[in-house]
Amino acid sequence: MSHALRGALALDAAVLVTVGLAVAYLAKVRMPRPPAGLFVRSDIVIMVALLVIMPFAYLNMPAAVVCTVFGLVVFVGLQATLAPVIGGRTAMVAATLVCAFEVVAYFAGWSTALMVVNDGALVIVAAGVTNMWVQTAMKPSLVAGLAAALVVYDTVATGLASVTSDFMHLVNGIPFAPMLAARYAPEPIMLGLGDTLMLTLWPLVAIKSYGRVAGICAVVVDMLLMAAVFAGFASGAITWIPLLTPLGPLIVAQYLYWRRRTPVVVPVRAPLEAALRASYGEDEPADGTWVALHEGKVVGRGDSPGAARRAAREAGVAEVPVTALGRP
Amino acid sequence: MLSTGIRQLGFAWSMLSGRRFRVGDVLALADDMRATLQEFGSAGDGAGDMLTAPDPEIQANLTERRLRRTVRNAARHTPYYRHLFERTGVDPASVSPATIASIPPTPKGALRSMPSAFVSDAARPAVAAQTTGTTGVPTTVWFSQYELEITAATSALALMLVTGLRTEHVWANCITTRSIAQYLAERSVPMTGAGYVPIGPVDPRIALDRLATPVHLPGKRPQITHLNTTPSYLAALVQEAERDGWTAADFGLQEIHVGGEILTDALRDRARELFDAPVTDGYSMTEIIPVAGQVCAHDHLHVAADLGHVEVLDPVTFEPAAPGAVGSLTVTPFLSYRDTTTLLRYVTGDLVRVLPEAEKLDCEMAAVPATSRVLGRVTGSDLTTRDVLELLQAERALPLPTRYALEETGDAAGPVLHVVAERADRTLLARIEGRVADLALPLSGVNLVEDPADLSAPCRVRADLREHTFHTAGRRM
Repeated sequence: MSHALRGALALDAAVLVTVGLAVAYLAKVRMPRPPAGLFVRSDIVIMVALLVIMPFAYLNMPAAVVCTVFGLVVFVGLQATLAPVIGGRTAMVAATLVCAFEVVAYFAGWSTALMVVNDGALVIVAAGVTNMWVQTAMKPSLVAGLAAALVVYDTVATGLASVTSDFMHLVNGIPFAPMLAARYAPEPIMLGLGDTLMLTLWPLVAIKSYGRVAGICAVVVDMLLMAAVFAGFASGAITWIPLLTPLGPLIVAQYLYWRRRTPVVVPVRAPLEAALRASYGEDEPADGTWVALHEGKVVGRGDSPGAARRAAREAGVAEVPVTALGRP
Repeated sequence: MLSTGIRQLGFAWSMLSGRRFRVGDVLALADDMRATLQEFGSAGDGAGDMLTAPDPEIQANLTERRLRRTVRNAARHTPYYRHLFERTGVDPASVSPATIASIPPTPKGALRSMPSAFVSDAARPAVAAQTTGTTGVPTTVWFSQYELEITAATSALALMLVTGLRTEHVWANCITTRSIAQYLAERSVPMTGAGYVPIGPVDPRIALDRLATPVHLPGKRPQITHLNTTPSYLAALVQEAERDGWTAADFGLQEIHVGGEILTDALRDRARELFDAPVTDGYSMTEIIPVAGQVCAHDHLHVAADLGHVEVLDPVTFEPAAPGAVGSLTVTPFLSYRDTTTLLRYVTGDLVRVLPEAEKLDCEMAAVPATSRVLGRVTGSDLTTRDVLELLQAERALPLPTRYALEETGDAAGPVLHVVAERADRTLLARIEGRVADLALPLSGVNLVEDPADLSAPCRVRADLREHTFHTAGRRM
């Protein structure tokens, strides 16, 4: 197996580790929430807008500024992800050490160490960020919407234009590069953080909204996609791919499938249903009489709804009956 | 989440700076909070800090800033205060919490006599609220749409975060539909997602019937869960329910909130026993909205300092009351909440006791400044309204709501207490006189009357603001 294929396999493994970590994190850890607020549609709009604008902005910034921006993202992401697990102060120390090491490694020319540590940091950050979204109630429809928007973006920016490629070269080998990497330039083997996030996000949302089976299916779809891409690389059919172009439709398709399979259940009000089916028999109420109905039977009468309810209680009915003026 | 975060920052900025709120943001924030509670069942971390600054030093700093803005604005735009500052020569810019005594207190009579003089020239008056006028002459307070919306939205936040109101609850109001509290409740309660039932102070038999009536609405408890009323109307409900044999099992009440009058321990216990629901005592009045207080489990009245500057002044000298002394609550609502009827050092006439220095707060609301519960109004003797009501409501043979009058006869032992009883019987009188002696109350005598018209002075309570309906209630068959 060539070095390139081993690198691609390593990236696939890193993605699976991210997904596994994120799922375990979701099951065990509750992240702090803001006082009020859920993940809503406007958040997706803002995210997509930033996603479209920022790469162009980065391409016009000095590498040091780009590095600082992503350094902050990695630092905050690590601290926020680790704090609920190991405590705020320890998380702060851990995040500081990781960030400091990346800077030192860069200047010392320890590129392999930099790559490994940065990959590790990105795996943790991706698990944390996706959990933050899911734990602030990000809905499947929003993930599907985001995925659909990213299909368009990734196809254009990565497939048709050189934005992603230019960006990859900009962040190649610098600390805090938002890319999972198995090898840096001149023959880079990299996976964008956005791809990693989407590969991780959908399984989490699927588990939370549709259950374990949907989550397992999402992971299987992720693995099949990565296997197909790997096969493409191995056969030489492709040398690069905008991963979100196939992943987006797969997420949308899964969303549509599970939404159909999981109809919204509006609970019926059983006491009312039973009251409407009530059989009065000999108990036909006189005009102007309120009756209390429980499990299809008249259990109390009165000249007001409160009086009928009270008569039902006096008759030994502990549940709250339905009251009606005569026959409903 | 990002847009909510921006709104929260805006809200916090207005809270900290004392500047106007963005109405749309505060309304949206209340909606965000409702959605958050619906999704997660609880608010996120730090939600408690949204309504009040936790640090006393920060709080003091904020109070100073808010007070300065409020005083400056009143001196510039409110005719009454413009003249007052001109007359007294006080420099509005010099006023701080430490020097606020340089502004003469505003008596209730001044507002009652010329309400328009207290309306800011820069205001956009929208709704007039009149106090109930139990003393005979109502006071008019004008509010702008801004004030009403901000107050409703912040009330909704408080209902969700402090009272614990949720979408499954059903809130009934049994207060006069003419009051501003009713107007605000019918906006703030639905913002929380809870159901809202304006019953009004109708015949207590009808109110009990409606409280017992099953609702069976989607997502709601099957009966009314929260009741908001005045103590005297609660007393009327208790009286009627006891007389007619209602029990807690007939209702689904989880909480009862009262305010606007004195809630005695005796009435609180009797209502809790009858409805099997805790009774929460609150304090507010039309003139000082949104400043409000709540009585804690240790029977202190806590009034948050975020909405207005609160002082306790000696009712005669208007100097700050000393620890342990009785004084009148005097309130300056802050400009960011009140931009129409502006009031500086408004003497509410509601007496409280300043907590003795030795009394340390260790209740659940210890971070919020506190006094004793409201003792009532000035009676001309050392006797407070609370003294009389506690005495009388502890006697279950007396009808509720309690009606009495104090008559000054010149007797050094104190006034004569005239009390309405169903029957002026000697045994009952002896029991009351015995209790007066036990409590060493400064009364020269007790007189039972069977007709309220026989009292030496009219005894008006909020339960008398009765509203009529065509409903009938409620005989079992």
